Amino acid sequence: MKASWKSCIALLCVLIACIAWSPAVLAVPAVAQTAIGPIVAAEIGPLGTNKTAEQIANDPTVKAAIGAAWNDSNADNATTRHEEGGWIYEDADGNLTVGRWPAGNRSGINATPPMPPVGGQVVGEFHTHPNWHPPDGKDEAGTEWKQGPSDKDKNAKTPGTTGIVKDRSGTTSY
Amino acid sequence: MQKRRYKVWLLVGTAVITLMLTFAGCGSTGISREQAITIATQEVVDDGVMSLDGRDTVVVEEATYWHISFPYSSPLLRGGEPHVWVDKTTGNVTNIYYTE
Repeated sequence: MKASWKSCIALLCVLIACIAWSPAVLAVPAVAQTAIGPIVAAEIGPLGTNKTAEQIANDPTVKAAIGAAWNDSNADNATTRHEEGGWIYEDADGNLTVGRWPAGNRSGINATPPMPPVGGQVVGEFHTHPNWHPPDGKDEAGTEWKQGPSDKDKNAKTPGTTGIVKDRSGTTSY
Repeated sequence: MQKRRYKVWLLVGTAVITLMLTFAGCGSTGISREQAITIATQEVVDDGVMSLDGRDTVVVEEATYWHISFPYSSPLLRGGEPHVWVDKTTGNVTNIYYTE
């Protein structure tokens, strides 16, 4: 009788413990982001530039192109603002040129396949972020926008190249 | 003597069960991952800032909330996504913001 009671209590404890802990043990782990590959490497060409991200961002041709893209973004118009951007190429002589993408939508832009000059290569890309407003990121409608490149911006960029985003506060490289 | 032993065993058993249920309560969630996705999706649709067409769903479990975001699926697209925080206990949306 004594042993039977002990067994019953022990069994009950084990049973309760199993039931209690099973949700934690069986919990579905956080889902990792779907792997999204960069632009096909064969379309990019060799990544042999010796220019730094800062040098690329401060190149007069690139700065002018980013300025033009910002103007084209209509950032001050709440209804027509949209993203603009493009590839940054380096030609065989080391000069930087820009190939613009078609206009994007309010918070995204489609990178067309790159077409670097003969003997050149893609060394970077840029695009605008017209929605973020200082100081708290909220636009006229109160929608909160986070500053800086999105996770997708970072994931989509080809490793080894420079990404630049332009918003109201200036440019950010990534 | 035997009755006293039974009582001790019962006491120990009750204490163990209580402890187990207490700890299990800390590890479990009221809102499941699937429920959180449904809530977040509806919130983004209602907000109307971004379309969810052509987007993946990414779920990260934080200590007190589910962090759900909807990045573009296409590798050619650059751009932002909606981020929604859903309280794991109440199911309330505690934060919604967007990236560009």
